[in-house]
Amino acid sequence: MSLDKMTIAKRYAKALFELVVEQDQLDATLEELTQLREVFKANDGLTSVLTGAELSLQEKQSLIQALTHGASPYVTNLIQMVFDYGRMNEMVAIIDEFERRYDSKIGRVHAEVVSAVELDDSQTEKLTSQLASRVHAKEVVVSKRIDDSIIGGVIVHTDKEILDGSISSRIEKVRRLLLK
Amino acid sequence: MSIKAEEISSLIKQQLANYQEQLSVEETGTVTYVGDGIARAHGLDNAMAGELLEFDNGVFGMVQNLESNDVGIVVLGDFTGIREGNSVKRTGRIMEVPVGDALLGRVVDPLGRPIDGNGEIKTDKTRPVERKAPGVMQRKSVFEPLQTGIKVIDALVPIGRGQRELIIGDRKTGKTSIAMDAIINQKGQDMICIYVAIGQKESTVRGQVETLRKYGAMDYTIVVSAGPSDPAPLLYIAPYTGAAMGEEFMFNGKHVLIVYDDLTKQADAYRELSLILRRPPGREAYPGDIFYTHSRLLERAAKLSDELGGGSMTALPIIQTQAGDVSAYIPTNVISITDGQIFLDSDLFYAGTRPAIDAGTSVSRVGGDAQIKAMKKVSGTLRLDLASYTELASFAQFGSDLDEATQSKLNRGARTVEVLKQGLHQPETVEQQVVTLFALSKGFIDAIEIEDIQRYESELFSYMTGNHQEILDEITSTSKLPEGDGFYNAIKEFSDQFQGSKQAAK
Repeated sequence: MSLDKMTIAKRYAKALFELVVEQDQLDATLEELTQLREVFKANDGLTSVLTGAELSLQEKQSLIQALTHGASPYVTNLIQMVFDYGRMNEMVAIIDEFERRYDSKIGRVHAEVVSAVELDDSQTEKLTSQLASRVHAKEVVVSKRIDDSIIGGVIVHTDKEILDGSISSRIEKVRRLLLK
Repeated sequence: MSIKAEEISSLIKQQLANYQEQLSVEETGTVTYVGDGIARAHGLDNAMAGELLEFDNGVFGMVQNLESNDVGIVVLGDFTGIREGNSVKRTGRIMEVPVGDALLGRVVDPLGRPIDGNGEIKTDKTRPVERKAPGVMQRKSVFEPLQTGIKVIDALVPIGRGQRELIIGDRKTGKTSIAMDAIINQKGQDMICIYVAIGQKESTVRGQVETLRKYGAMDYTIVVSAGPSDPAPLLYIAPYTGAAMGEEFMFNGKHVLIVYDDLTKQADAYRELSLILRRPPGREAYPGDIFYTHSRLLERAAKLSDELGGGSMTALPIIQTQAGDVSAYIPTNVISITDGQIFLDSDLFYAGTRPAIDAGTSVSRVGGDAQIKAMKKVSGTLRLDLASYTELASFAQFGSDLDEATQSKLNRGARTVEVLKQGLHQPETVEQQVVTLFALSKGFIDAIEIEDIQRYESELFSYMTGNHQEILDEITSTSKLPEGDGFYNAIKEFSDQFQGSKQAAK
């Protein structure tokens, strides 16, 4: 049975992570990998081209050269190795997993905040500090999204939890209560 | 006294100051796979096995597999509305179903929701679907009889309250009918009955419910139905739901009879979802824990000790065999779990012996403890008589010259078989059974033509109720055979004036 994406991503990420921690290259590597992820996200067809059969090995290799251009030896080796083993499909997952490991090491949490209106800086600041104390994190990276269908309040999505303080969900709760 | 506006408003102010909106915090995961009644979700790191989860569209699921990256979930409802990428949240509860008196007379699905169109079930009590069975000290040995109203069962394979007696046989041999008759016969016995239909055609279940209603049995019966078109997880949990409902009554000191119709289909449903959950298949592709699935279910049938109120739950699981093969995997499993089995034979069924119970292979491991004394007396030699009859009958086919003793044995045997026949939904009281079997054992029936036996039986009983009610009352009250010759003479009196149909025609 073939291994699933998560298992593979975890293995590669763990190996790379332990290596760069040992070599004290953690922050630089993360920076590079984030860039790499951007490249994959910006070019939709890249993964399928690299894993597909349309291009010859040489042509693919030249694409890899372009990707590894200017990268540190660790990241270069990672890309080359992932390509050699035919795991290019899992590249983004590996980077995600690497970032997750990084986050848990330094106590950082990513959160997506959905609100009905734009939050100003002081509100964001307050929310961030509140959230940090709630999830016991040193740092909270907030990405904001506006969705007026939630009417009011905010919904915070973290990795594992949803903190829902929106008006729409409360109305929904009232509706369920009344219909019961 | 007047209303003091100031006081009230200050109170309200206080309350408002303390009023805080509740923030809902939910642990969620993301669905990565969905299909065939199961889903896999990524995340949900703290989910527990057996925990109830809720999907975006309000459908519930139960955690089955905990793996390194994801959890395997069985979807308890319509899975077509769930998509990959949907979120699924923990509820922190394990699965529970409503229980209590309000369920009596109702038809519900395996989640305890009514499906009979008679409106909401108003009950505030729930019980977990999966529960550990009562332990050694909470039990007591089985001693009270559970009268099924079927002569051959009550005489040969008596069932006690708290026993697990398997009903096994091929398709169309009357397995369900036996269970139905047993339920119908519980009228006025202060019993609660639960009929769990697993994968039975909706039309069949409808028919059964109508039958029960016609005989007034729905007043004390709950029907739990998981139809063949329901997703496999519902079929899988249906018997546990029934057991949970029964336990509520049992722990309140009541006596419960629960019928699982049938566990073969439940095993099939469990095999289906186990395979989709990628559990390794074992013999006949059933998962490794199929035995435990049935043993933990049937173990919940019990006779409770007096400290716990002395309630009981008697289980009648039904298993369907293929071409009489009792050595298949599921039949052998369930035979070894239960305290005996009632084996139905399709040859007997088509030969007109109904109920088609094979007296040779049917046993009850509780046995005589679960019979009243009178019944024990009259049915003592019945099994031997039948066994020697079947043996002789196969020999007697070859030769015509038979000595008198063999002749009379064959004679008696044929009549015994005839006496043990019984119509559908015609349960008999224990006194009635005792009267008939007494007449048989004393040889009164030997003189009756076989075609007259059914008539003899019913006329004898109406004669007894008409002229010797005191004898019947004595059997009921003392549960012993009446002393002296009164009983014998009463039957002799009737037999002497009974006219066979041939005599009458002359």
